[in-house]
Amino acid sequence: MALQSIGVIGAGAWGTALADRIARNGRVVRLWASEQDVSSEIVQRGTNSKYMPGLKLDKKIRATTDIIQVVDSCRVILIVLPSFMVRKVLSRASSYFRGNQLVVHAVKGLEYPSCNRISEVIKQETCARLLGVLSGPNLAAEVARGMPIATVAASYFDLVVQEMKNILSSKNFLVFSTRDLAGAELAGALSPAAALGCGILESLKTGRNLKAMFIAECLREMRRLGSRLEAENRTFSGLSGVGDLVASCGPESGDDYAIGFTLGRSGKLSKEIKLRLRSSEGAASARAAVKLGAKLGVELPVFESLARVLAGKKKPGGFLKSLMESDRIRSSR
Amino acid sequence: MRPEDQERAVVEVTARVVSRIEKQADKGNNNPTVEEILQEALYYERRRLEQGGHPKTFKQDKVFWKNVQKLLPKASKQEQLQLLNKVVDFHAREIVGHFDPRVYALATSVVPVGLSLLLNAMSPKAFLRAFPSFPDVTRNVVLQGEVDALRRMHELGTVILVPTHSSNLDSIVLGWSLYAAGLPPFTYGAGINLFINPVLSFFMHNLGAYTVDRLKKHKLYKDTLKEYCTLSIEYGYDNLFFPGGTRSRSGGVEQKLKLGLLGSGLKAYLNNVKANRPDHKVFIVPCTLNYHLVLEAETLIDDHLKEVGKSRYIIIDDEFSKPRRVASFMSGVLSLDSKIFVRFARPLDPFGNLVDDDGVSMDSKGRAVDISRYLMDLKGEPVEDPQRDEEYTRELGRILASSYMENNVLCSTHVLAFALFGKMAKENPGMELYRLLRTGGRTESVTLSEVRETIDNIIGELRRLDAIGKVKISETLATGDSAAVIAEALRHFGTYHTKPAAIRRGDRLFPLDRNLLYYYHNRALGYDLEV
Repeated sequence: MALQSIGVIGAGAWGTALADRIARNGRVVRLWASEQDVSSEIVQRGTNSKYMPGLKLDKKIRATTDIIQVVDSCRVILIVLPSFMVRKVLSRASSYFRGNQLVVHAVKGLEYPSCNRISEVIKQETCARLLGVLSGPNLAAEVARGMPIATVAASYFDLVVQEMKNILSSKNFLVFSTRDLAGAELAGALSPAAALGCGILESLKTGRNLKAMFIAECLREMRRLGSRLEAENRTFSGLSGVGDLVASCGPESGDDYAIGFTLGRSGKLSKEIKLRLRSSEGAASARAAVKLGAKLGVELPVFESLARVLAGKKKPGGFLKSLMESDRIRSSR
Repeated sequence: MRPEDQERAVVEVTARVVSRIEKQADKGNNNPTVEEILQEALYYERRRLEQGGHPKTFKQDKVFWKNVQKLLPKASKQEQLQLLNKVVDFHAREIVGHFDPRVYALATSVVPVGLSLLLNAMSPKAFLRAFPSFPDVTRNVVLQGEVDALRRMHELGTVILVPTHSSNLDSIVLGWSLYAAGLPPFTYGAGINLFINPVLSFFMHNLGAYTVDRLKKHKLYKDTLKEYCTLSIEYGYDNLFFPGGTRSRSGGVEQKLKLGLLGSGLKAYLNNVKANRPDHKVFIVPCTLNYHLVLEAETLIDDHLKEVGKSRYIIIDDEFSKPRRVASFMSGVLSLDSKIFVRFARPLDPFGNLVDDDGVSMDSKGRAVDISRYLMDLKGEPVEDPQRDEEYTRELGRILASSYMENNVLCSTHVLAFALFGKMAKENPGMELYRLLRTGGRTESVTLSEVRETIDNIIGELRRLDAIGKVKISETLATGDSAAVIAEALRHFGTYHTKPAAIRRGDRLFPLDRNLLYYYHNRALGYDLEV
């Protein structure tokens, strides 16, 4: 096999869209799905109706539920899982990784409660060192429809970025590059939290002025936290930061916005919302950011306020109030 | 380097450096041409010689570079290459030549006696006091940590010892420590300024040093030096680098490390893998050196404060160059039974993975890792990739920095200075550091009870950190109370330095030399200790 295939771990919407994109560029893709029915459907019918309805997948995608086979046979591995699943899934195959494999994740979150970036989790679980992240405004549905998209491949290693460009680039898929792995990961991880907050504000009919202020404050706090993690300021002004916020913080942009909207409208944490928040990247990232901020001595009043709403310690209406009246937000300017 | 290796080392270093420059020049882009490389070397060498150069080699250097100057303008491309070959060969011979194999051989037998004599000769008072027997300063050197692992790695492969750097005495202390650990001298590059004191210079050579001329600023010299280091590791010579580059000016534990020489270990390992010798392993052994008092503390902190961020790389007029100061320091060490802590940390591979007793690299889960794969391309062939390797070395640097913090042995002087300087800073909130150091603000003295309370808290926290492996502490800090810590620190401060950092009068402590206090305080930074 000589490790010629590309492995994609995770057959959700984004994992499936990326696998299809890579396969259409002529590569064989081994796509790992955690659910047997998803894997079987891809193998038998070439579709993934649960996560990517309507998309006919490229024939070069080989789905499997055997993660060891994927890790063992692929030279490049993309991890596209929810943040809370990464460590658990990797631990099943961690001893099959090799030092010359490129391991790139497209996870928009921080691990909670460890507050680790996903590249740190990969490093802790495997012997892989050639790590990277795909960040930026990556709306799976648009990719699947073949709409133009730009993404950011970030790695401390140029060879990782170059390989990402090789396997993903097409006339409709631009891959920008940066060596700022920490910045790209952090920006990508905190955008869903901002999307959640925007969903809440939208439901409260606060108008676009306040939403703009909220997004700007989120961006400032992302920068502030990033500066303590050796991230580059300019990463947050680019596609990974502002770009992702623009894409994530509007209706139809993803689960986090929708969860925020539902929470804001219901005014309380119902059982159903609690369940949805459990798998929400935005909620985990907001909590992780606040914890990380406290550890590093970085003031994050906006994310703190959001985390309090998500923990049920504050009503969504109180979130709005805290944004308008918080001295900490004003003084931290 | 053994005589049989010297000539082939010169030839190999020259061939590698010339071939690399030639290849890069052929690629074009923004790479300098051979002529530009030679012009740069010539420019810097002429400037160096105009300023005097090194007395021992001045005449020879002048003749050589005058010849280069004459030939270069009219040289064809082929002649430029020949000239490049000559220049690299000239540097390589100088680097190799400064290491005398006869002295190296002698060193293995004279090190213990030599060091003892050296240290004792610097301390005539102690010598007289102990007469007719020899006072033994070496008993003040405490070896700690992974000494067995160090020995084992020496047997299994090539060791690169990477210590923290506080004093010019470090090399001598390390030389003795290696001997005491049952190891031969390690080879290391020592700045030419260290050879000013003739007695010490002799012993530097004996302890395995080769001379590095830091006044040679051009890339060609640095490349040749780096290649020589790489080759010596490939040949199996254990090396010693100070990754901090120079002595810590601030007194703090080095956290910004110079990666240039550190990368030689990885490069040597890559060359071994390419030559189908992946079992020729390279091990990095971090090491910390801690003194109750540092010989050159006054000069170092002055330099740090004068030029923060751009401190002089080479200081030639410090305490180390003054035999009386060295003697006074040694006398202090003996009379106080002061300890010098040399702590070896767990060995690493060139990628920063811990290695087990059999020299096998382990990942963070303790599983064996085939590290040769890190150097292979996607087809499984070992390849050179400078950007990749630079990044691996950067990661190694981060791991080293954290190993230094965990293996830093704090002493009573550090803790008293931390508490006292911390009190000063707290009592003068917002005061700029330089003003605080110059004036002391409103803090003329601090009550003993206040300092004791603070130190009790600090040693409580340090004992907790020591127990979880985040720092190491001296015996007094581990078992004594604050009164014992203060008494020991004041005894040390009261000796050697021109002006004590702090003294006690009645029930109050008075900071006398605030710069020194700041210097020793810095050693305890980074542990979130509260004052």
